[in-house]
Amino acid sequence: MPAKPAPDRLQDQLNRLAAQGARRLKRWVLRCACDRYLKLLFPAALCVSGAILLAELLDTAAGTSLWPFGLAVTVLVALALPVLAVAGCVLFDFARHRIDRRMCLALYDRDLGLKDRLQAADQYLSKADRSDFEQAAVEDARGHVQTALDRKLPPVAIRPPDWIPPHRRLGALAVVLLVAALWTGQYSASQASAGETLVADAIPGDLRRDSDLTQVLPDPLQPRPASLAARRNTEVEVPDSEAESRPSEMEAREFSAQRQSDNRSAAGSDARRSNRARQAQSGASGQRAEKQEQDESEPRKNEPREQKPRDPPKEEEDQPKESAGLKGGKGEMSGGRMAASDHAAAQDKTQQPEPEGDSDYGDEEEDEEQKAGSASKPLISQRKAPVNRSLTPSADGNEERDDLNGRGGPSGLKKTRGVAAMLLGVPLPDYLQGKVNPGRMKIQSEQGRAEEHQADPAQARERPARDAAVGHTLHREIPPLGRDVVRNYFLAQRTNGEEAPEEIE
Amino acid sequence: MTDSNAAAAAERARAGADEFTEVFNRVKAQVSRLIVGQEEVIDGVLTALMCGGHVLLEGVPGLGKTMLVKSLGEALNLKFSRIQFTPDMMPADIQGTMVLTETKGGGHELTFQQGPLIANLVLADEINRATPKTQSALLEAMQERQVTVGRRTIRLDEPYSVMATQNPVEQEGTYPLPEAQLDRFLFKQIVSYPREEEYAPILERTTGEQDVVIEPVADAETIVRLRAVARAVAVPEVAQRYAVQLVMGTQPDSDYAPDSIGAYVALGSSPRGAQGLILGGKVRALLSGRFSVSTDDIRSVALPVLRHRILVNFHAQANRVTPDLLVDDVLQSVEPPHTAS
Repeated sequence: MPAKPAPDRLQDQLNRLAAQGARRLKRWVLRCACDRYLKLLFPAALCVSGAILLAELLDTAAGTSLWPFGLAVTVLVALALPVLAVAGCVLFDFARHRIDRRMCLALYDRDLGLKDRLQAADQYLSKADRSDFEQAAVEDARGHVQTALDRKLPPVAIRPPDWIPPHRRLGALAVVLLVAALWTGQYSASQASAGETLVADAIPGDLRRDSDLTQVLPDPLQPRPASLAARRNTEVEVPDSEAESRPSEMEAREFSAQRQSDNRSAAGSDARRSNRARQAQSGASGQRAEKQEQDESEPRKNEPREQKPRDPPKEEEDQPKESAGLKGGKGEMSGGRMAASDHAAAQDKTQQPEPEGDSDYGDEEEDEEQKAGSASKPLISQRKAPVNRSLTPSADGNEERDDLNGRGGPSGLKKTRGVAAMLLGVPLPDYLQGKVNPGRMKIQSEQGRAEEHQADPAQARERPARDAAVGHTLHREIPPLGRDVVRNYFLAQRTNGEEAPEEIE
Repeated sequence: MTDSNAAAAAERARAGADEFTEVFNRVKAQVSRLIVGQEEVIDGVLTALMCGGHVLLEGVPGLGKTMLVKSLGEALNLKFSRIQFTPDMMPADIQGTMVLTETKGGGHELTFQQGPLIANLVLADEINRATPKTQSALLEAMQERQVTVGRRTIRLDEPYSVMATQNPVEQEGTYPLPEAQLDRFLFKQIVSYPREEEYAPILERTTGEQDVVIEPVADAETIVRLRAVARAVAVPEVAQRYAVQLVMGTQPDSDYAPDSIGAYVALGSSPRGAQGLILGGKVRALLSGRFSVSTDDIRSVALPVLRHRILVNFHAQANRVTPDLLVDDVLQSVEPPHTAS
């Protein structure tokens, strides 16, 4: 019989097994994490490329600078960001798993078919007072632990995931999006450089300094125009292109006014927010606006009164507003309609005390404005949305709505009057929850008719005398007193009257 | 513990395990002389007997259920009694009752006449034909190993085991066993039809000239001693946790329960199920030559231990989902602890 190893040796062997198993399990956990998250590489690349493309499109269309990076950075980010994200997920998943010692031993138990012998021995070795069977289990494991140590478990290889066709399509789509983003970035950059060249050629020397100044010190509260080209056209007054730009500007105004009337209710809050921003902006850029107005009003002051009725008057009214709004930093709503803050600022300006010599000019201008206002139709954009006259009671009767102006349609309180209030229009909750719906029931009654049946008549005849056995008759229970009487009688019969019968108890 | 003490302790355990295996195999060989095939059923009945549990045998008539229990009683040389349950049977008919007897002097006295329930091995044939009142009379005997009649309480001799049979067909006029009664059976064994190659020996043994005689190979004392050996088998933490997780896997709304359990089970197994898994696993470990229970031992007894402890709901009955399918589902979904996957 071979000499049994010391208990310490078994413990050491189990420790070595646990260490081997832990290494294998770590590798296996890493492989599982790679299998799980490498499949997300192409979708992540697709998302990153799509985001870059979207940013480039926004930069091109709205003139924002969401993605100001160049070609190399774009490609680097599009390639590195998905890889870093997937690697982060793999590392997080790997660090999340905790490898237990018993798990390592169970690996060998399962692989060698040891029926949990190693785990049981490892548990019982740590016990000081072992029972007979626990000690026997420890001794039983000694013969198998060396086998487990000699066993080489198959290595776990980190393999790339199986790229199924959807993954490949996603990867191809990511590449396409990246190329599109790069092309969009290049296109917008070329457009911007071309626009700058044109403007630089067209701007006179003194104005070029101003435009440089506005570029160097941009007003942070000033909203960005629709495009770079539009910004160039509005920032700089180009005398030659004024006639060409007017029709397109009018068309843009009509289009934006119509669009604004359609989205009026939805954009109401946004307009209020933008007005507040513009008010702050107008305060910040007030000095520049005043300076600009003064510069423009001075030539008007010097002009003789005969030259006042200028043609067309509307264009001349728009000119200072437009220039003040652009150069002075005033916000202009889309469609050319002035915001409420601009109206207020204009009214403030008209209410400011003017020099005495110019009072006649101001009165005449006011008359012209009144005439123009009375003659012209109200703008579509200024038309209010129709009042909601729906009689459907709302969930909250006290809810304040913007489209209710107090006229006409029933408000929350008015809905409670009239015939509509008498109708039970509010759905009541079902307080019998859980009651089974019996469904549609149909009761069909049928009439039945009683049928008469004839029975055979019974013939009366004589009953003959019984000549056979009676058969089983019902046994009637004899009371205890009677049983004793009968018993005593038969006992007396048996003894032939030698003994007197017992007395009845 | 010194080396010599450890070696002696291991030697004692080994000797007990060897005796257990030897007696088990001898009894099984004697029973197999009469019962052809049905290895799983014989193993289950013997395992339950060695664990001190009761067995419910279910099968159609003519498969040898009654003969199996009778032959087991003969092989173990135990006091055997058989009760044929009928709808008009009363608890006093199986427990015993006080009868008025006449003394020699002519007087009378009430004496207790034992019922067939008081024995070592009780065959409760067609137990589902008795009324719930009579079925419930078995509860005390099966759980507390005692019978109370009036003011008299009689302790039952060890080993005590009830082997009940029931017929899955002909359910008219029967009374399905209540859950409390079912839970007291350690195993529920399904007796199936024999295979084709088993018919020939069955016919030879039952229609030939010679009757098969079962020889007693053990006695009550041996069984009691071997029960102690079986209970001494070590249960490591991994096997215990696995048994608990399997039992919890049969309970709806448990973390270990698969979706099928939540959909089709009205009542899961009680902790008695875990006790049955551990006890059955101990016997299987001894029969496999090991001294500690493994998760494979737990798995091997999971079906007979858990199948009658799962009460399926209406949806399962409508979709013909049996408890056996649900136990298989639990075994597939609940992995042994410390499994890397």
